[in-house]
This record gives sequence, structure tokens and C-alpha cells, in this order.
Amino acid sequence: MRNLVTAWLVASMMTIVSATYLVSALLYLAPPNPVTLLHLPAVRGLLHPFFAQNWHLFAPNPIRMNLVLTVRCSTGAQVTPWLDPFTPWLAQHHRNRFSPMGKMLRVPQNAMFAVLGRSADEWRPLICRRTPEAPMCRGEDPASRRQRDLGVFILQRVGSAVCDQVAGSGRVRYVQPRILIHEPPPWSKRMLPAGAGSTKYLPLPWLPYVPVSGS
Amino acid sequence: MIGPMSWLVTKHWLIGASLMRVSLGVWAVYYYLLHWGVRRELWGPAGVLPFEKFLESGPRINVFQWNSSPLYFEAIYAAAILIGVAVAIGYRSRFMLPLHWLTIWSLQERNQLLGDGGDNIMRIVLLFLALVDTGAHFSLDALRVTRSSRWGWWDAARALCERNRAALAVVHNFGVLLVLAQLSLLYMSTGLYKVMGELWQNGTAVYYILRVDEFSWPGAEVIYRNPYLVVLATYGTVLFELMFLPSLFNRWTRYATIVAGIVFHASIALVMGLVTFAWSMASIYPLLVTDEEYAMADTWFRRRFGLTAFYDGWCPACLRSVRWLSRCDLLSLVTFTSFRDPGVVERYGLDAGRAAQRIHSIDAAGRVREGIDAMIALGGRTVVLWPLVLLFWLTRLAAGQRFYDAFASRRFILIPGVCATHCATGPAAARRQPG
Repeated sequence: MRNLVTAWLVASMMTIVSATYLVSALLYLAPPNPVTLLHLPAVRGLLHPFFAQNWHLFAPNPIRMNLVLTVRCSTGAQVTPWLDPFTPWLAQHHRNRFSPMGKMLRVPQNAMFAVLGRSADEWRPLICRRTPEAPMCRGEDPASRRQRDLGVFILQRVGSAVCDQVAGSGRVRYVQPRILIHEPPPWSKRMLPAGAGSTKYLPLPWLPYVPVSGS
Repeated sequence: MIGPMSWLVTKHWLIGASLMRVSLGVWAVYYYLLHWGVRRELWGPAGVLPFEKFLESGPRINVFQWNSSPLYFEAIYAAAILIGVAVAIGYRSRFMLPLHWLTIWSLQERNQLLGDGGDNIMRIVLLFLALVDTGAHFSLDALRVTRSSRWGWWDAARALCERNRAALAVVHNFGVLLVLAQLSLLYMSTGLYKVMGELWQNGTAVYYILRVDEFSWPGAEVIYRNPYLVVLATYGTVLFELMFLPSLFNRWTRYATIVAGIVFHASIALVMGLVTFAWSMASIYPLLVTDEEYAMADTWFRRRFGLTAFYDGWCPACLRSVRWLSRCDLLSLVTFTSFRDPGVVERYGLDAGRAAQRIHSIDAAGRVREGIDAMIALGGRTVVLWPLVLLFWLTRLAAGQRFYDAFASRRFILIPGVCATHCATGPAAARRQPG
């Protein structure tokens, strides 16, 4: 009898906890809507950080561009040509699906996305449509700035590590990362080779070399 | 007891939960070993995101935040591998799963630039799995359940669990339901976002995904240049994701969804190169099958692939081999029977003379095999012997039964009550069966 009472109590408690979680997750994951808007702070408070989740997974629209990081190094007197250290990693990832290169490539990829200001926050486009002058819409809010700074920091370290390998450890004074943005041909030109499409370059300023151990 | 309550106080999905634990444990060990060579660069204190920068992000409950020493990092990484192994083999599952969550969570938070959807779902379902009894099958815990532990506190905890069995069953069932609900929310959320996207609406999204180098593969142009495949894959993805939850409410649509999901995630792993993502998603799928359905599948499997092997019970070497083969028969598909036992020859219609010369087997369809053919049938059902099956086949092709016969005719036999040392083999010996 005592067991049954305990089971009832536990079942009631689990029902409340589960229902709270599921309703919160449903509101959190649903596309922006008026009910979520009403409860967004409470929902985020419940789910962050341990149940934070993002299931966009190539939605609403998939990424439509390749980002390639190129780097050049300056010793003060000499400047190297642009180096492309990650294309061989990509080739290895293509050759072997069971290599760690998938994760390794994600470091420069996500750092470049951070610099370019990509955000998975679906509320941002809605807010920016109404108030385009808001700091977050111009990338001037603290979160955007933090994200961009982190991206630049990572690219600086990655660039320094690349320069160490090319010029020798500690011989370089400045590094300059450059983001190559390649948009593949549209569907109507799908027969064109991979290299076709449009290409843009986004050079970052020269950054001081930072020593990276183990590079 | 009232209906739903009587259902709740019995643990369900025990086999699925155990399979999920095994898969998540193996996944973690694979993940850690795959990145072993680059672990310092990805997560180390002097890696791409140095320790000080990591602390600036304000980590919470992260084992990597407590010390910046490289030695400490190495120790935690090694411990994480051991915990992954313990989870996979089901060693103290209740205790190890929360530790497993802690190491996975810590690693993912250590460098947030690396995460993907697979990492995300992994850490959430591991939290729910802490509520679930994942050690009931395929685990050391299941083997140990009848034995007393050397750890006194463990026995005390087990006794406490026994006293609150009904309440724990309720917690277990809710844990499983939360995992399933989480998976459904995932598919529903991504499906809803996809139907809002222009490229998913016009059927070309998969083309654009496969033209991104990171998610493509040499040879993918065969897919992305074909309008039928692109549209099928694009709309099929959206349809699968949106229909996932409703399909769970009917047994046959659920089976179809499981098959579609496995194909879907295998394609993602192979074509897009997202192996760990696909694996972590597929790890949840065993929970989509109930214990009763696993039992039915097991019965069907045994009926379809079961084998009775007849050996010589008077031959000490044969007895030793049978003992060894029984241990290798992890799927318990083979029943070993000595043809010397009274009534066996008559019951199965065996030729005693031939059975004395060669091992015999009868499969579920009643097909009788002997010698090397019986060994091939036996090896095919014994996972551990699969590498040897090819060798048996080659032997069969090269020498027929001759190699097997040469091997079998050199064995010694001891006839109970007749021969004190060893006797001749073959039909003469078979005819001299006592009784």
C-alpha cells in the first residue's frame, strides 16, 4: 500500500515536471509566434543552459556558400603569398568519412561564420524588419560583438599556427586571415563544375602574431 | 489498480533502453578515440580556445574549468574514455550514465565551435537516461543482479531500489517517454522550419546542401544533378520529419518510420559526412520498439535461423570444441546435441555411421548438412566465427569434405563402459553404442 502511494506521488510529480518541460520545449522550438513571445524569458530561463537546443539543421534554408580561409604571414620585412592550409584537410575528410577532419574543419568554418555574424536566432529577422536601427540589427549589440571577437580571436590563432608551420615557430610578426566566400552555381546551372559560381574575398586586417603551443 | 497506473508501475522498453545505452557508450568511445590525435588542439588548455578564453564564457559545472594543467586535461580525457567503455558494457549503469553526461557536456562546452545537432541531442537524452533503467539487458549489471556486491553501499542502494520498485518503474517509464518526446520535438521543429524555407518548398534544398564542400562528397554530382533525386530527397526529408510523431501511434507506420529513419541517417553519414551526428540520432531508435516486439522478433529469428548441431559425445576433443563453440555462440542460435545420446539418431533420422564420421547439423527448414558444410552453417550463426567462415568456404571449394574428414578421423573417442583408452572411429564404433 505504501509503495502504491509513493508510486502515485512520483507519477504526479513526473507528470508535472514532464509537462512543464515539454510545453517549454515546444514554445522554445516553435517558429516565432505570439505565445512564445509572451513567455520567452521564462522558457529560456527553464531550458538554459542544460536543455538548450537548436534543431534548425539546414532550415529554414540551408547554407548556400563555401567559406575558405586563406592566410598570409608577415615577418616585418617579407610577406608570404596567400596560403590555403585547409583544402588538404577537406580532401582528407572527403577521402575518409571516419577521420577527425570533420571536427577540425569546423573550427575555422564556425569562426568565419562568427565573423560574418551568422545567427540561428529566428527572432532577430522579425525585430530587424521593424527596427532596423536597433544595435542587434547592425551587429553592435554585446552578443554580436562577443561572437565576432571570438571569431577573429580564433582566426588569429589558427593563422598564427599556420604561419608557424610555414615560416618557423615565432618568426612571424603579423598574420592576415582572408575569408573566401564562394557561392556555387544556382540550380538552373547545376551542370557547371564545382569551381563555377561567384567568389568574393573578405580580408581581415593584419593581426599581431600570437604564439600557439603545439603548432 | 487503475489502468494507466498499472501500466506505469511496470518497466517498459527495457531492451530498447539497454540497446540505446550500448550504442551511446560505443559512440562516445569512438568519438573520443577518433579525436585522440587532435584532442589537445580541439579541447586542450593551450588549444584553439585557450583556458582563459574558455573561462570568459562563464562555464557551469564543467570538469575542465577546475584546472588548466595539461596533465589534468589528459587524465579527464582518459577517464572519459573509460566511462564510455563502462557505459557500453553496462558496468554500474545508474552511476556511470550521469558521469558520462558530465564528461560529454564538459567537452562540448569546452569548445562550443565544434558542436552539431548530434552533440546537442546526445547531451539532452543522456540527462533523461539518468532516470531510466538501462542496465537490464546486455550489461554486466544484468549478470551481477543475482550476486552480492563487494561494495556494501551498492547492495544497500539496491535494497532501497527493491523497496521502491513501483516508484522507480514510474520514473523509468517517464524517462523513456521524455526521450521519445524529445526526438519527436526535434523532428517536428526542424520540419516546421524547413516548410518555411523557400529552397525546401521549391524542392532544391538538397542540391544546395550537396554543393557545400563540407557536406559534399566526390561523386555527389550524380545526386545533385539529377532533378528526380534532388526533389525526392528534399521533399522526402520534410515529409519524414513532419510525419515522425504521428507515425509513432500506429505499429506499421512506426516500423516504416524506423526503416526510413535508419536509411535517412545512414545517407546523412555517408553522403554528407556527418557520421557522429547520424550515429547519435540513430542511437535513440531502439526505443521505438517495445519489449514485446523485441521478444517476437527474437522468437522469429530463432525459428528462422536456429540450428541443431550433432557432435560426438564420446570424443573428448569434440566436447571441448562444443564447450568453446557454445561460449562463442553469442546469439544462442545453435543447440548442440550428442548423437550418442539415447534416441537422438532415431528422433532426427540421422545415419549413425555418417554422424560418427562427420559433424551433422539440421537447420530450421529441416535441411541436413554434414562435415565442412555443417561447420559453415555453424560459423554463419556464430558472430565470433564469421572471419573463419570464409576459410571454411575456401577449404570446401578447394578440397570438398576431404580436409574435414582427414581432421575428424584423427580424433580419439572414449566409449563409456567399453573402451578404457581410445577406440576406433567410424561406422563400426557407432554400431557399438551401449544400450
